[in-house]
Amino acid sequence: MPNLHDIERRINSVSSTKQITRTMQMVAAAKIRKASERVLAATPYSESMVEMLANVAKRVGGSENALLRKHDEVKHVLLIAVVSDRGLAGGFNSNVLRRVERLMQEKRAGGAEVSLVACGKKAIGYFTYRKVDPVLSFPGLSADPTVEEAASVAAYAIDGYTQGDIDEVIVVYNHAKNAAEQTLREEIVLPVDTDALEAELATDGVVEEAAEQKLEGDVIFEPNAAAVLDRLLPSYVRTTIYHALIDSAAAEQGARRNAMMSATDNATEMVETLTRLYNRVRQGAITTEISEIVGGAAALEE
Amino acid sequence: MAAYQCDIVTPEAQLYSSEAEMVVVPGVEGEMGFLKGHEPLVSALADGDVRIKNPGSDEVTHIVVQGGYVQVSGHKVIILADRAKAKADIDVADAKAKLADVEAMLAGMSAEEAAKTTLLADKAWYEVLVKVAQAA
Repeated sequence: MPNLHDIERRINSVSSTKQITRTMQMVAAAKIRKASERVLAATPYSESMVEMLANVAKRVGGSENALLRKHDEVKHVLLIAVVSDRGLAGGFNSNVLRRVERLMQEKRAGGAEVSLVACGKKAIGYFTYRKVDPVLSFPGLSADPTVEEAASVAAYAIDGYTQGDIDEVIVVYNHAKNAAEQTLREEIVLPVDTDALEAELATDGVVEEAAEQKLEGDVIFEPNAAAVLDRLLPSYVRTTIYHALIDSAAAEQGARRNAMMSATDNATEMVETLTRLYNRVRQGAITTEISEIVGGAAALEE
Repeated sequence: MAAYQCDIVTPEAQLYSSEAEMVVVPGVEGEMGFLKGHEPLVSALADGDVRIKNPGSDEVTHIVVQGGYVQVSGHKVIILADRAKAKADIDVADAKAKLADVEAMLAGMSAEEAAKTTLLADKAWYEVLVKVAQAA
């Protein structure tokens, strides 16, 4: 039989852990709201951006722009891993990191070089340990990603792509499907695929309808369609990356809340089992004592 | 005169969404004004001041934008901007101080290093803020 004191100590330890996890759960729940508000605030911009770009790209039609042109041979791939700065969020970080590592191996097997942009401390730690040096790293970003940070990632990617140093840019992040669910997403940022843009518009029924009545027929472009496209594309890349960052920030809080919720539940269950054990042991000790006393008294009477 | 919907959005938030009678934007090739029923148009914008005339009054809202685009359809004007700020919210002293900071940081860097940061864009932004605020 375990010692009464040992059980008591374990109950105490589990309940204080439970207090911590419950607090973290509540903190995450509060942060979810803020993070999803930010995603919502950014949505009109990215939607209009996609719509405008699809319209312009359709009219320019060619692939004169460097960012639209597919490189014939993919020799150098840039992977952008978007994770968080802190752990304790279930599989949030490891899902992304594992996918990035697998992508890396696949691309290397295909004969391409791979370089990495690490957003979030966890990615930096993970890849430094595996002797992969990120070309750009952004620690301390997951809590509050800014447009500027997205812009510097985008500037690096666009520079490399136009100069031919980079042939493909892929971003891997967690999408916050809703407050409780996260899905892993892998998006090709560069080259920009205009067909995919139109498909994206088409899946979004409301936007499609609006787009059709909006820009039918002749549209005036100033200074001209190609020049507008030249300016729109870098912005589009920036927007995509920024969106990945804030989406991931929202997903992180959701994932943490889920992880902490199940941790709290597990702790509650454990305290229950331990309390039951504690009571049984205590009762056992009392029973033994009583039977000893009764036995002693009976011995005296005889 | 007839009014139409005018939205100004930045990556961070929707800054302005309201009815407007006329919108004047700083296009890359000069200023343009839009009334209701304007031909569909897409244009890149220069950094500068967007003026929105509110319907039914002489009130004009000024909004400073950087790195923007405008899309006009018959019944709606959408302005996308990297950064935007209502003129009424500009703090000239603060913008000047930030401009000085950014210039000091740029002075300590080579042109190549500066190209890797967003400082150049910051500088342009504060310059526009100061310019528009003082134009009034």
